[in-house]
Amino acid sequence: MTKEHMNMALSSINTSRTRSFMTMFGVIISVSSVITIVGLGHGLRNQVSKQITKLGSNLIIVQPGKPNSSSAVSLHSLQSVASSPDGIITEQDLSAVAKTADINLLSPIATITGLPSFEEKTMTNTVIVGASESLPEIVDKKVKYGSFFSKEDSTKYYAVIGRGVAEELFNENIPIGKSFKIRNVEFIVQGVFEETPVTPLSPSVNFNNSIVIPYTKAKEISAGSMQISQILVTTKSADVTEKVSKTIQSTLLKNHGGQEDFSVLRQEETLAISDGVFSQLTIFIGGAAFISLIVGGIGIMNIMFATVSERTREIGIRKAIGATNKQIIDQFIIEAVTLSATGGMVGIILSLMIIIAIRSTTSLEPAIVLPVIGGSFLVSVGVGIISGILPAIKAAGKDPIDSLRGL
Amino acid sequence: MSVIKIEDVSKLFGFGDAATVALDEVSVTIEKGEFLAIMGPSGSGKTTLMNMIGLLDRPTYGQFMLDEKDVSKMRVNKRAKLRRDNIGFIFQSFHMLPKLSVLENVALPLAYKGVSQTKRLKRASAVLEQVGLSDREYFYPHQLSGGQMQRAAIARALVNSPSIIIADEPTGNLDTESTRVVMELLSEIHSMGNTILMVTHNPILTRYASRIIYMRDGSIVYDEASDVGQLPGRVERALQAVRTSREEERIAGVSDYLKAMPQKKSPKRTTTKNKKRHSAKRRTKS
Repeated sequence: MTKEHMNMALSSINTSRTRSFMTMFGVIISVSSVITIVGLGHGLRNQVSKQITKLGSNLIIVQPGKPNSSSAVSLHSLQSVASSPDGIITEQDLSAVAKTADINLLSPIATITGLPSFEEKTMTNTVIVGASESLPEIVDKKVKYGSFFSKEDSTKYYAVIGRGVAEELFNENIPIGKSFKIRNVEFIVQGVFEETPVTPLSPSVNFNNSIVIPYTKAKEISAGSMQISQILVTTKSADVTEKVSKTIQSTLLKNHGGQEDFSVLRQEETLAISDGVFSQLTIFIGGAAFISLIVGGIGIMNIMFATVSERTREIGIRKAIGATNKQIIDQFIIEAVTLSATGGMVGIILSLMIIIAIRSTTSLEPAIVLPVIGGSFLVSVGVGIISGILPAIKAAGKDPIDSLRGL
Repeated sequence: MSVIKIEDVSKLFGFGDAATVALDEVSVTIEKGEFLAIMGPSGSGKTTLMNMIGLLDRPTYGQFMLDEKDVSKMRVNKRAKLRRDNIGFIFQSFHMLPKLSVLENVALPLAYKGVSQTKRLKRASAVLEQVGLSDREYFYPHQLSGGQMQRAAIARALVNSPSIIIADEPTGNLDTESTRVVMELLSEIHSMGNTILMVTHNPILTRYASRIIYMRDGSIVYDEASDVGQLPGRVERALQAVRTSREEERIAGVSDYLKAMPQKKSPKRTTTKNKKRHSAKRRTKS
């Protein structure tokens, strides 16, 4: 390949700008759509997975209902757990769990119904949770302003509220010290949780809309209608988690008269269950990427083949005036490589720009997946090059007169 | 010295029953410096013969010597180089690359030879001056008239100083004045010692030729040498026949000129295509 071929190919690109642009456009669309779609999928997966692993590997969750995937997937989603049908967890279970050895922290989670009101305003769509003082540490949730109630405070009418509640009910960011009513019982705002980023598909609680009060007070104001929806337990170390969970399992089984209408879940199990969701998500991402690649590839081939008859005649003329097969194939290779590779680069840059735009404007965090960037680049550029030099290769096997006639 | 020597060359298109014979064991020898005009009705194999000689096509059977070298079995690359160095093409439909300027088009054969850009543009410019198109160097083919386009094509054919110029109906798409200019140009090239092979339908143009070949049904039926500037005897007589043509025969699409041309003596082949043609011939005679 000499400089001469290079010039010939480049001038050919330059003189037929529309064709060149359309060819590049096919590669650009193909590459950028694959990178963006896979990035979105991966980002979503990472976000969900981060939420779950954040809970730590020494966490045990006890919740009513038989251990099956459907209730386990809705783990932590208090709204749905509250309506869990079969089996209940009793006060007796709670104290039995609390007595188990090697337990570090424990908090019951009980949701009660009630419309909180402040002055003349009431707020709907909140979750009122009764929990122990260990809750923030167990679920790794920070209190941004003020503090969570301590063990000594558990008999006081204290409440820690989410950011959404602060804004909607009190119309201010830090309503600490303000008192409001739940079921006509007055509570004092002790702290405000940090804002929880809303993660799509994530099974965790939306703390922004919740009001956490001491467990004993929740029991008190609900007049006995309250049910424990979960008991969260952390063990002293990750090594004993499995043992502790087995002990709890057998203790509760005894309490429930041998009937397994509850589940004791460890984080590994939770992850295993979410892996089911993840593998579905992965299949979806893969499918979407594959389809984008196919569509992009067809787009590229379309443009290339649309110009074949024009190019076949051109090849015929060039051969008639003395070009050898090699000279023509060289020219076409350089042309196709230049166009496809430039298109691929532009596609990568475009997709990175889209990803940055999505990151900065939405709560989604599309990932930049290097193997996918490499893969989509190689496939699209490969398709571009092959369909670009195909007319030259086909013409190489024929007598010049056939190309000249445009056959 | 014979530049071109063709021996029993046949060209078949298609296979089996559908095969048509475009060239039927043609033998011809062309000397250096000849201006050969090839005439004959459509489908008589003129263009096929030209393409064969121009190395654009390969004979199915037979031997073809170019400059006393057998080229019929030569490999594609060598043929391409021979085509580049020894043969210049002029086509009826010009075949210029539409995206390149006239100058670039003319310089293209040199690029494939490996001549540097400045040198080849200089050479192309010189040849364009020779054909009187100096002021059109930077025009694109679509901006030229047919005559100018054909002159540019002639310049392209000349740029490599080939030993043979092949012109396939060079004036087929041109008006009378452009035809005259192009033919004068070819005549001038001929007088400089080049070998020219030209296919034409226009009997008047044979005046420029030094030898005329008539083809029919894939065979050469008549071969006549003639002084340049003179109409060959056969054409002379044929043209006289045209004047007495009847209108209905013109409408029937039968050229009287062709009727006056010599007939093929003994049809050897019995392909379907030929049968049809022969029966058509009979009908027009009766």
